[in-house]
Amino acid sequence: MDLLNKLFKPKKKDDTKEMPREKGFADLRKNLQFFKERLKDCDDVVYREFSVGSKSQYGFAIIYVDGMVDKFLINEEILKSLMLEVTRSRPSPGLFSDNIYSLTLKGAVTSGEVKEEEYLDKAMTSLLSGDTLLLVDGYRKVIVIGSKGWTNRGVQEPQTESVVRGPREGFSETLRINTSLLRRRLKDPNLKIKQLQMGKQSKTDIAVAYMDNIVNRGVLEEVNRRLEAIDIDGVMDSGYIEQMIEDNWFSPFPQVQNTERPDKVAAALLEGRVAIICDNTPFVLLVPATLNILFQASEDYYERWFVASAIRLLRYVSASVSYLFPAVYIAITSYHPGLIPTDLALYIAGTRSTVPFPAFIEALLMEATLELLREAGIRLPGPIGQTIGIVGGLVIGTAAVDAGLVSPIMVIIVSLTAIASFTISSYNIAIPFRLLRFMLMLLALILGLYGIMIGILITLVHLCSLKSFGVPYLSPLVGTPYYELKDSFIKAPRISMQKRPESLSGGNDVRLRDKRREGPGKGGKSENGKKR
Amino acid sequence: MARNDEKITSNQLVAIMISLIIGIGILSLPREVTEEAGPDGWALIIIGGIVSTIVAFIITRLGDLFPGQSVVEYSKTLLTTPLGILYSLGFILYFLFFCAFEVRVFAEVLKQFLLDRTPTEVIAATFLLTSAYMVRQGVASMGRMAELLVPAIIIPYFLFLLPAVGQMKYDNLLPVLRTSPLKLLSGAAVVTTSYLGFELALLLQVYMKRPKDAGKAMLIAMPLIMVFYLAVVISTVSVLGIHEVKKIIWPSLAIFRLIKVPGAFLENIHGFIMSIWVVSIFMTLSGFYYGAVLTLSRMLKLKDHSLLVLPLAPVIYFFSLVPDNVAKVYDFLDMFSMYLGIPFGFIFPVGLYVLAKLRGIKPKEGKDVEKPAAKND
Repeated sequence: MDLLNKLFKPKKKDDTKEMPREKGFADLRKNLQFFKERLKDCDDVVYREFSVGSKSQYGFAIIYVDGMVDKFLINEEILKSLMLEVTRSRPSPGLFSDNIYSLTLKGAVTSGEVKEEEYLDKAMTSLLSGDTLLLVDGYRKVIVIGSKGWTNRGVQEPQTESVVRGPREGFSETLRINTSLLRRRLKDPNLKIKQLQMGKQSKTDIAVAYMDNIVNRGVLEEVNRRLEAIDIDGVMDSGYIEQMIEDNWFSPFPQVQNTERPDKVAAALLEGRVAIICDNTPFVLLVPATLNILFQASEDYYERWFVASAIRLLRYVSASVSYLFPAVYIAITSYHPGLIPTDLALYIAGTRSTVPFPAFIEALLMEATLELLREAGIRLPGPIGQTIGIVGGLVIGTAAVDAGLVSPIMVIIVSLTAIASFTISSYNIAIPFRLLRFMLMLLALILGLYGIMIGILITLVHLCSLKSFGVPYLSPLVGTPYYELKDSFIKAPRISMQKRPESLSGGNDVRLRDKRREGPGKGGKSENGKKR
Repeated sequence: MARNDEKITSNQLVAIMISLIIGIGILSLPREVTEEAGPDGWALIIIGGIVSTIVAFIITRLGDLFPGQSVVEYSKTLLTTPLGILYSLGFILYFLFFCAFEVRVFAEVLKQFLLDRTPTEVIAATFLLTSAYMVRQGVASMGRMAELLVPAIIIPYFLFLLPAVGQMKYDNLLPVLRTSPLKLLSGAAVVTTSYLGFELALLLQVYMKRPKDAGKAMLIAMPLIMVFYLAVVISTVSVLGIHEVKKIIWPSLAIFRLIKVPGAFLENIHGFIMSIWVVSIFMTLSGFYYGAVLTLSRMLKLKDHSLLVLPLAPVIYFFSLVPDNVAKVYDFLDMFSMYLGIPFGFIFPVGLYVLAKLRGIKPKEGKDVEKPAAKND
């Protein structure tokens, strides 16, 4: 963390330093002048001056940013109520003449979210986040009316994590919608959503969500400490934050989980983890993240345990296939053909007889082609993406074999590794295995099976030393009480997972009670059985 | 960031001990015990195991007398400073020699069974460097690694052994206990070197979350190792027969050449058994390597041990290449066991304990005794 501070604390003064605080002026025109000067050449800002009163003696002005506000709200709740309805009602004359400002604040503006602001700079930030400023002539304070209302994508099905069974709601780009999706799932005062702003220019809203009674205090403090240490001009995506708060940025393994699914976040909060929600992105960060957690899909918890366990085991197997397969092929064909049955060894040698390359070059060629195809397919629109698949799979695959450049077995191996890496639930944990595969292939080329063992050992040592916010990356496989293994390679029956993982939560560890067995005559599932 | 500030659990100490002690010794263990006691080799394993368990337990009792201190510090208290430093230096030398043997025997075995054209030097160097990476990560990572790998070493070994059950001829183990007790005892002295490694607890106890549990951990770890050794010796001797075992340099590996897995994809499982041994010996090497580095860093009162890791690698590499061939390696190993292994593993720790008891030292509860100890709490 010292390193992080050193790297990210600006040594030189920069021009993005905070502006001096300026209080408002009593004169309406001066106030307007201030905003117009600061917002010069900002043509999306709308100023509207109007007068209220029988003789139009009270000057008012509203300022808002066009497109970011709810126009209906401004027309109905501010302009209409101030200009028309106030004159119709008959407030007591003493109050009316005495303090037009407090009358406006308390009696005239019918909008729900209203606050006062003393400093113009702060009011400016609110204005630029979509609030409407109401200035009253003769008063220093600015009335800030919450009127955020821009068009947004709405709640849609998450693109990256689709499920067969489970809720189909996904996070959206607006922070408020995202927090509401969480609040709907956890209607508990212990769900805390603490907001802060990040980015000197972007002033992005960040929310840190956690369950007050479950969260691991140490992790929470560490999250806050690392978030405060960030000093950056703008935050475009939660990925910015992820890269600034992760423990080890030389590691190929992600140490922060990201998800688009509110149910996943809610479940994580119930395990005592901390969520970092960032405005303008549907990706919510979850810390701490362990290898095991990254291998889980939310569906694992909705399916019955037997199915879920089998699928989870399959995922671990496919990760090792995607990691090991090409390297093992290289090692066996070039160093240890004696380890496999003689018939198979002869067959492989036969198919490779026309191949002009050594096994390593052959494998490297095909693996590189695969990565190219995958990368080409990702950013293309759907129909073209499929064309790429056909071109790559059929044309290149078949043609390369027909031309005798690669052996058919190599094509099978490459396809297997590709399919295996697609079965891993999240994209960011599949990548390290894809990358490390090449390291392993190189080691297999130099030292055969022993090289592969060396590669595996290096990877394991790295994984063992890695931590995510103080939690060992490999827990609960190591260093935790054995009951936590119920939610690792397998998923034990829900009824047997009665405790929260100790490695993640801070105390308060009972999450489920088996009332069917505890009390006589009480049928049905326990009420405390919170779904993950 | 200091890498030694994290503590290990008692389970991790058990795992470290198991992965540390099961090393190159096991390859030749059936041959050694059979040479000493014929069909009664298994009895030697039991005697050696019991003695080692007792000594291992005494070591942890010794650590309990000096909470927050490792042998580097309390040997100075017990033996006076110059002798204490000498003891620590000897300890380092002992660890380094052990590492060198592990590396050399490993390289030789690998060359014979897996990579017959790769130079020994390359195998030794790559293995040593990988281990250096492990040692740099510190004790907590090593604990986690051991916890992860011990099942990966033990379970596949027994799985691969399963098909051999049909080939075992138990009359190879007859007659039972015809060796004279005196012969058994002298043979046990040789066998005990296979149990060396537990003395690392002299250093590791300080890094436990609850150092008091170290004794219990040792009482779990040592018998488990004994059972594993027994399984290896009995299976090897019963498959190969006494005369065969005596002739083969690494009988524990040789039996896997005979085993055919029914209906399996694999022609030869010895390649995969070798992979398991790579892992096992890797942990042994890393443990002793860490012991050397840790002793040195505690002597120099360094906060972070990782600076010392790479400078020691060439020393181990050099030592490992001194013997000309495998036979010489084993000659050296016998000498080493006699003059360094038994003293540092058995005699000195017990001596220190007796000395501490004679002086009537009582454990000081919850007090930081010395500065370096306090840092690591």
